[in-house]
Amino acid sequence: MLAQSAAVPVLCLVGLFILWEAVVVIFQLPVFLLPAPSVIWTATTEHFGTLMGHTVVTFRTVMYGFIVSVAISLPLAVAITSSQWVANVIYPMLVLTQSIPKVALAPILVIALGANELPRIVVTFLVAFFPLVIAVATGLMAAPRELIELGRSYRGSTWQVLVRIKLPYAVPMIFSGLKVAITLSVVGAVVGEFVNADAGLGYFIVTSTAFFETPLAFSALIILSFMGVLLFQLVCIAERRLFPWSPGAGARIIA
Amino acid sequence: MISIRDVSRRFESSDGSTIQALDTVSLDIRKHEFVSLVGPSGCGKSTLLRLVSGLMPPSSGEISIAGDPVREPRVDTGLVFQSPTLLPWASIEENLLFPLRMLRRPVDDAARQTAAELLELVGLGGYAGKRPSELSGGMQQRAAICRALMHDPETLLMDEPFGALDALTREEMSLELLRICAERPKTVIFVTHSISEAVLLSDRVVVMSARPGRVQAVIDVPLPRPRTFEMERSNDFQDRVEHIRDLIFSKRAAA
Repeated sequence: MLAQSAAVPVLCLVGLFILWEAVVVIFQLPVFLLPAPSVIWTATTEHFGTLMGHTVVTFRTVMYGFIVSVAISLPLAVAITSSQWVANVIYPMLVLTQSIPKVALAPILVIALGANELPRIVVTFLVAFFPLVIAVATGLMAAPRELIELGRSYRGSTWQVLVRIKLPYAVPMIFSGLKVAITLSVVGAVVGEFVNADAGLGYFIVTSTAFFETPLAFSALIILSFMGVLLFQLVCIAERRLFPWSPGAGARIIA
Repeated sequence: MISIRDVSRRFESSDGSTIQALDTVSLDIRKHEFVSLVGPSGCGKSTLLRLVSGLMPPSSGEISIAGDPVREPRVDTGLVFQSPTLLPWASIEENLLFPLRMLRRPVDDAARQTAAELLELVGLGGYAGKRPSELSGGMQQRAAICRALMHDPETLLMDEPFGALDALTREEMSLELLRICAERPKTVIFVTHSISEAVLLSDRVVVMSARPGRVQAVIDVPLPRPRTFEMERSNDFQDRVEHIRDLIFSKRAAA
């Protein structure tokens, strides 16, 4: 069943690459404008070591950013849903962080935090965490009122009600938030690298295009997409393995 | 055993006005007595039940159980709602153990044995390992009743427990409840919209009037136990049903 479900997207992808190759050959497009997949492939294999080095750097930023997002979003969502007062204080600030363009913020962060990995992780976090907070907060409010009353009627503490009722109820929403967050983490890491980096796939795209090495820029681009898809799938697999009862675990349309 | 003294409860509605849900309600319920609350929608039946359960405090007046004023949820009461409110991710057995986990009581072989016996009592012997979604509505509600009996409470508070079931299942469940109460005597407060259900099950039926909720009349039902459906045909039974119906509707027509 897994092979069958994977077959269609793979075939579509292969078809797309063939079409791409044909377009480039037929219209004789110059390499710096749109390189053919075969040219990209050659460039990738030639510079494989370099590309992998940059991939590892970007991957690390993505993971740090994602982990920080999760570590901050979960408690934040619990705080927001715990009282109206806290929600009134935190929500406007959250929305404010989202209305600031992250690309514009990145250079300022570099000044504040130094020309190292930290501003990139912060940018990744800022791009990825918001949908996660919203998803977890929505999930935490999904538990039926009567079930919470039942928990309280057995003298359950706020903590017990959270852990035994609200959090399990939120699992499907938490995972839909995690799926968005992991994908956005890749975006955030690249944004960070565009502004300040001496390594990473985002940095590599900037330098490659500066020298009209378009095939290499495309290599980096394709590796980034694969990274996003792979990480997304890992989240889906984690959901299926850890929480088989979650409705998201069975839904093949999104998973 | 349960004493309700001049209890009133007001709510703040969303437009700032005050709603008087209950107005100076007084009622005494004896040990192992089965008392039903009937009345039109909005008469405060469910509110009264929540006050007795300790989930919310009365605005004025006092409720005490066995001489102790009710100020918070008590260990010796069990709640059953209109919807089964089972944990969808947990097995039926786990759902039955839920009260013990919330009460921080040991979940040992004896507890699992109790769960198995209760499930056997309501005809769910083979369903301990199933998830709630694999059971019909009636079976889920039976499991919910078992859950309320797990910690062997003195008092059962039931808020329209059969309200969401179809007519046939509902009758079946009434007999089931009579049988459970015969085997394990409990003090029961039972909220229902069905007058005949109230008369069939109860020692006394409390008729309440609509907003503000007041006790309009208390009707004794001296029918012998065990009760059967044949009794519904007796004149005694029918007279009481008619009497209660008149009480509810005459009040409404006058208003």
